[in-house]
Amino acid sequence: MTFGDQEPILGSSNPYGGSSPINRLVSAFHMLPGIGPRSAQRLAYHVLRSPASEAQELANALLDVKENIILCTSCQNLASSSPCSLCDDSGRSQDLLCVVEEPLDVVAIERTGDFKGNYHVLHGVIAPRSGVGPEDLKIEELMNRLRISDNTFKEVIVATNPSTEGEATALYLAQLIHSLDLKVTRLARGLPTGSDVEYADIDTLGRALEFRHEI
Amino acid sequence: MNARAPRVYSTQAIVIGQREFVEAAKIITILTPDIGKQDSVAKGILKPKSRLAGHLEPGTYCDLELAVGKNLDIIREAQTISRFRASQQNLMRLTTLVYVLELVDKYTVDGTGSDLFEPLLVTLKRLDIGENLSAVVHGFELMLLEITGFRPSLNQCVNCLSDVNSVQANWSQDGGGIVCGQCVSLVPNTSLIEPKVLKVLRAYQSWPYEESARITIDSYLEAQLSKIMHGLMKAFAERDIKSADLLEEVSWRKELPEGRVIS
Ligand SMILES: [Zn+2]
Ligand SMILES: [Zn+2]
Repeated sequence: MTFGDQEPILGSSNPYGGSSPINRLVSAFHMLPGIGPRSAQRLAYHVLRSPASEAQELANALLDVKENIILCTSCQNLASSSPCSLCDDSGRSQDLLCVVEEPLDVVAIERTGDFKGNYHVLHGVIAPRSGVGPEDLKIEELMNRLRISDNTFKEVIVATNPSTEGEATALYLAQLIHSLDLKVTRLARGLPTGSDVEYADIDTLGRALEFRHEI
Repeated sequence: MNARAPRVYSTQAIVIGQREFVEAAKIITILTPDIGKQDSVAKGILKPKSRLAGHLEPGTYCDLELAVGKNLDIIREAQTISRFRASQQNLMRLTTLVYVLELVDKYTVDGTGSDLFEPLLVTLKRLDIGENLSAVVHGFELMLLEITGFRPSLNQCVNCLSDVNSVQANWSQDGGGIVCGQCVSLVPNTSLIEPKVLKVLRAYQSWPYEESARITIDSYLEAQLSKIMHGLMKAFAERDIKSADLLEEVSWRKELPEGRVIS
């Protein structure tokens, strides 16, 4: 699939041939999320022009991350040790568990500095159209963790995205977690900072009204 | 897209799904009353201040303005008409919504399915009001099969075409309908179907919705109906329909007493 008007990148007519090293690199970059054919080409040529040491460092970093990053057996986040530094931090509240879709969501919430509880990373959301069911996520690990914690957690915050799939996943988790007699909450929804009431979708605006607060 | 097509056009649409695309863009699969299913591009939708974000979530009924693109049309404006908020807050209804969207997706290819727009819209509205879920979802499944040319044979034997009494009927998923007592040994892979299940399916297939919605369905009967219909929907689509399994799991767990630990 192509996007907009563009000539094919390094097609069969290119001087390097279909399976040349440069084409292999372009294809490899193209596989990355958000990288279109043009960007892939640009990145590949950048690597080609840069010193060998820089390419070596890139290759090492790629392999290093695959060899040395593991999943924390407790929170399922990416980590270099298990339990990870967050799970191992006794200064964090053991009452609160925040369930997120992706490791990057942990980074985002940590940046706020407002949350001092524990995390659980699902590694996705229930997305049947893309073939992702509950069994493909870290839900069983979450339920086991809640069960063996024996009521140390008082509240589970489901911080999946406010998308259709994120909502479906949140409601699915709530049904499961309620069976353990635990309190389940969802992140509040409202207008993002810097947005415009005029352009807000009615769903966001409706919820912002519903969860308004006194000032 | 033909040569006379306008460069910019407006349409109502129901969002079927999204997938990632290059940069901050997403490909949005929509169903429209004129074209049917089509992929279109929402540029910049992942940027925090995008005016499209929030209006193009799966299951959203919206007004769109699109520009004709070389390959895919580009969504320029999107305005939500309804996101069916009640459905978004209830697990059974939201799972059902996800299921009907997946059905539409699996039973159409690009440029087909325009005649599914109205039935889908009506179904999403009924789901949102919280009407009889069984009549809504199975009514939609049967309507979808009818429109796409897979109408199951619920009154005549699929082998000899004779009328069959519900008490004597057997079920053939591969044949797409019932089999009479005489033909049952001739048709492979038949199974039993309870007369009551068949009667309800017949009602869902031929009665007006307002009447079929009045039938009382207990959870045992609903489990039977779902099993038959999900099997049929997967068989005709010739692929897995993942949300059907999710729907079965969710409704099964709903029946358990409160507070019970699920393993
Ligand atoms: Zn951890
Ligand atoms: Zn027969």
